[in-house]
Amino acid sequence: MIKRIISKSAIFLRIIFLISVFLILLIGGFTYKHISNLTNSSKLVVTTFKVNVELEKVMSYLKDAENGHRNYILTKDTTHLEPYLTAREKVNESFAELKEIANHGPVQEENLKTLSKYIDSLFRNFTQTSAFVENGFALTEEFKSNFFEEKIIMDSIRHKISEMMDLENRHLQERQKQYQSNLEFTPLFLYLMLLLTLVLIIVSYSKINNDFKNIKIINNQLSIFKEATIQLETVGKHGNWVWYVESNKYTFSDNLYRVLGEKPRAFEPTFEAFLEFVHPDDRKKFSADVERMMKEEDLPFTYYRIIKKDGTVKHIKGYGKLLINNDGEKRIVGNITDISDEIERFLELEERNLELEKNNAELSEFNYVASHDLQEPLRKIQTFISRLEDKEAKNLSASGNQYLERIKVSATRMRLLIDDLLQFSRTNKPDKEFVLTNLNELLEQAKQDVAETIIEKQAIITSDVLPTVSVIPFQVHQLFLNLLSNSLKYSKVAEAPVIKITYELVHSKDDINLINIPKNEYHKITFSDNGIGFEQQYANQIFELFNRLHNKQEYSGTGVGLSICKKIIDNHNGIIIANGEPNIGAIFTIYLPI
Amino acid sequence: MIINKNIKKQLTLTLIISVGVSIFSCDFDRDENENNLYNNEAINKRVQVNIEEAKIMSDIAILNETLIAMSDSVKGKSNNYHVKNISNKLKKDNLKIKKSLNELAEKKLILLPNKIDENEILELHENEKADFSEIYLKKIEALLKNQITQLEYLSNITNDVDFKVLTVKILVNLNYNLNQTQKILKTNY
Repeated sequence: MIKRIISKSAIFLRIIFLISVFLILLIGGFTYKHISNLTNSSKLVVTTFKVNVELEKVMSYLKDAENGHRNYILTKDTTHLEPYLTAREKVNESFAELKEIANHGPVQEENLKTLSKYIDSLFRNFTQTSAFVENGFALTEEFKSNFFEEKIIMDSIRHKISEMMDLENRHLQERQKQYQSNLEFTPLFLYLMLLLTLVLIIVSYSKINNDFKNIKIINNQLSIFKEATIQLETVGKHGNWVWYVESNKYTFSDNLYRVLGEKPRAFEPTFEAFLEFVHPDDRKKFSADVERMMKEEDLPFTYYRIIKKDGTVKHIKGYGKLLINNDGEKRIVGNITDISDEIERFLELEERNLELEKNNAELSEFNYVASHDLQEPLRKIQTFISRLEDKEAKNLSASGNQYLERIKVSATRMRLLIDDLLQFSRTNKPDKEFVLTNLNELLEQAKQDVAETIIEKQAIITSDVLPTVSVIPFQVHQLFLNLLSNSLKYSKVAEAPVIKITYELVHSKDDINLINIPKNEYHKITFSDNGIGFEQQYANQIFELFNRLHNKQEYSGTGVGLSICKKIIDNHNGIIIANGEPNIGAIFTIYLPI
Repeated sequence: MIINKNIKKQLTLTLIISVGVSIFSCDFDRDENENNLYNNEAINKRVQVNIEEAKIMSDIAILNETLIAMSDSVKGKSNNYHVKNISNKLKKDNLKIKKSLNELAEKKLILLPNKIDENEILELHENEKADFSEIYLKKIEALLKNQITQLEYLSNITNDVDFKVLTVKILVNLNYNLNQTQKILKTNY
């Protein structure tokens, strides 16, 4: 939780601020308290000093009175009584002071009372002694006793005053000690508090500075982002809106207005104002979507039309997402996109596709029909050629027989071509049904179809066990047949053809031929032979329709076989690759996806 | 969001408490408090009042002693019944006043003189016997008036309850005695 608080700048700064304020107030309070204590301490010193001074004064007055009184006793001169006569009043003045400034504890108050009594006794004693002297009873026993009593009273007064001064001084020392201990602690404490406050202020400043820099950077980025967004909106025909959930207010971006065909801020951004633009047929659905958005606080993709004021209808795609900011305020931020162009293109594409499909179908039909219809007259031609050969050959001249032979070869060739074209058109037919088929069976069938040629050429065919795969059976049979036929046809004259059929399950990332292919695993079937081979530069050319590397005199053929193989592999979303080396052999690699 | 709101509340509360604690920790008990031991002005004021109280108490004590001495002098000097009566009463009352004064003086640490105004006594005895009672009564009247004035002045300047109570107590007595004295003077002289 502490980490969260520190990461959230505002709270962290507030806490630091409050702590600093608290510390400053604390320091202020402490400082005031201690200055106050210092003042009190100095006042206490002054008070103790004053008390001691007054007590000394009292002592001095009493001594003067005593001296004056004794001088009077000695000389009987009443002028010496002046200090005695004024002493009482002066002592009263001192007492008036002492009552207010002396330590108000019960002990000192009692001391003052006792002192007052002593002084009163002393003055009575003085009066009595004076009376003795005035009446001529000086130096009598009573006088002596009285005189002695005076000394005792004076001693008592001296002792009491000393006691009071000691008490004041002790009190002062105690308070001084207390203040001293506080004073020792206070400067260090204040210094530490100040340091702490300083550290906090520095930390706050540093944080604020960093935050300010970050905010500046973010602001710059936001400005760029905002500009980029505006441009993106304009180019991409987007408009943004924000719905403030709690206050139920909307804001529209400038480009949103443009998408609706209006100038920016042409009207107040409200749901009702926007609804005016929605196509009447779509308003119900749109309103329902918006209502759901308000309840669920989310707006998945929604599609509707709008009608601009000039009557143009536009297709719109809308989307909204809930955002909750750091203060817990909910907003739904949404986007509308004018997808009219995409819709138009899509419709156009669909139309063209339909047209293409129609054309393809017609072409395939034409291909098939033409091949099929051509077969009938061709069959007739070959039949009558055969009859001519059988019955009229001896009636024909040498050149006539030669011409007939050439007609026969051409007819045969045409037959082959029509057969191959028929084959080709079959691979184009749309009804391609994939069936889980054991490829070994298809290979065997193909081998059976060319069994005579295999025997004639003493060909050796070896094959790995092939898997069971979902394929179009008759097409894969044709594929295997064509590849085997080619290997047998293009074998070396003096060498028996050796055809190897190997199988492997490969991953696209492990096979160099599959590097850019998205599918993961493939069935790799390889047909390799030891025939005449071909130049590798023709590896792609040989799969083109009617394309042959040799003329018909060298090797028979129509140039359609490998095109058919390519077409079949395309139908299975596979790949066929040819590799050849003249006089070494050819390798045809087929990849069928799993 | 809930955590943010709680933290705000706590922070606000902390601020209020810290300011409050800081304010209340201050010592506002300043010079207005006259009982503050270290308030020089107030102390000086009280000291002056104390001195004045002591002075007035001393004067009243002297007047009281003089009145007592005068009342003692009437014996054998006046045959007037009323004069004798008033002098006895005055002596009794003044002795009570003396006791009250002494008690208060002891409490308030005031040293009261026990002397009398001898001039007044001498003046009283200087005259012929025939004039004694009149002079006595006149002197008593003057002394009582003086005492009353002093007490009233004391009552005005002091804030001490004990002094105020004493003055009230004594003034009642003195005013009565003064009235009686003035009556006798009017009737007989």
